[in-house]
Amino acid sequence: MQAHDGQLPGRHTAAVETHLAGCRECRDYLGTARSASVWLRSAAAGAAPAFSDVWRGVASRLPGSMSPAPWRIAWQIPAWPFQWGWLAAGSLAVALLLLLVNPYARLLHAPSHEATVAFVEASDYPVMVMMPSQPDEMTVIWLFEPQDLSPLPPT
Amino acid sequence: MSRRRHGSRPAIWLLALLSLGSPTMAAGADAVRLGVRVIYASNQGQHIDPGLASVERQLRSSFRYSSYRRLDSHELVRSIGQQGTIPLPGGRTLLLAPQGVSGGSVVLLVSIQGGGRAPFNSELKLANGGTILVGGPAHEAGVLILAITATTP
Repeated sequence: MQAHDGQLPGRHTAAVETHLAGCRECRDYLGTARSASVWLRSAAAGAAPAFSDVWRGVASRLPGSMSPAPWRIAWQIPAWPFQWGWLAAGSLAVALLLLLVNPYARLLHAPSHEATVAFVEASDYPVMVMMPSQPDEMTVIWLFEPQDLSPLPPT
Repeated sequence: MSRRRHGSRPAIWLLALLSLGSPTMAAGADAVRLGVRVIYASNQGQHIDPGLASVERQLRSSFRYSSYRRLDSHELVRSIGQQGTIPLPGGRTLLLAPQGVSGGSVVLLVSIQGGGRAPFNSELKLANGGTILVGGPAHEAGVLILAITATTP
């Protein structure tokens, strides 16, 4: 095959040709090899697929989202920080609005009525200080009228 | 780093927007807003003023009266050490004087004077925005109850 392809020096090529003239088996082999070589060369020259166009064809059949916006390609900045930032801010704003318009928002703004009575001075009134058991309850300072102790708070 | 800045920018804008409505920008730091509702409690009828909605539950759970009427309502702003005076029925006077702000609470002097009695004096520490009830002085067929609220900026 090397002689056929011109890859051997001239003297070796002549020796091969001399041998082929007297050897039928080698001539048959060479004929088969030549046919295969011709077919391979023709295939490599003209019928090879255009691989550079393969991705273009595939991409054209994909959804449009596979084609990133030019500015993202140019700056190489992923979009998710923007999307997640606005999503978080939007969620927070919606939550605050719901709390403001929701009747249960009072719970958020409910002030603590916690109070400490440091001292009481009331020589003319019997005084009772009722401390709340819950933070949202109010402390009560009650001044009893000496002649009437009827409005006692419930026990 | 730049991605973090871009991602947190909306939240920063939102916080800045919310801070515009902050009440701390509208009042002095040493001012105390005092609110007083003068309530007449009795067993004459079944009534509670709509203006007492914020204290209705407390009134009903603490006292036995069937009727609660708001006789008057006052709101005043006083600096620390400055005294406020509110007239009460029966020739009485309520004196309020914020003494300081500590840990989010208001130290307040409360005094009820007049009405032919020795004054009632008290010093109390009230949570910011909290309310305390001072009641008992006789009035007509019932009693007076004072709902005192103190709020700091």
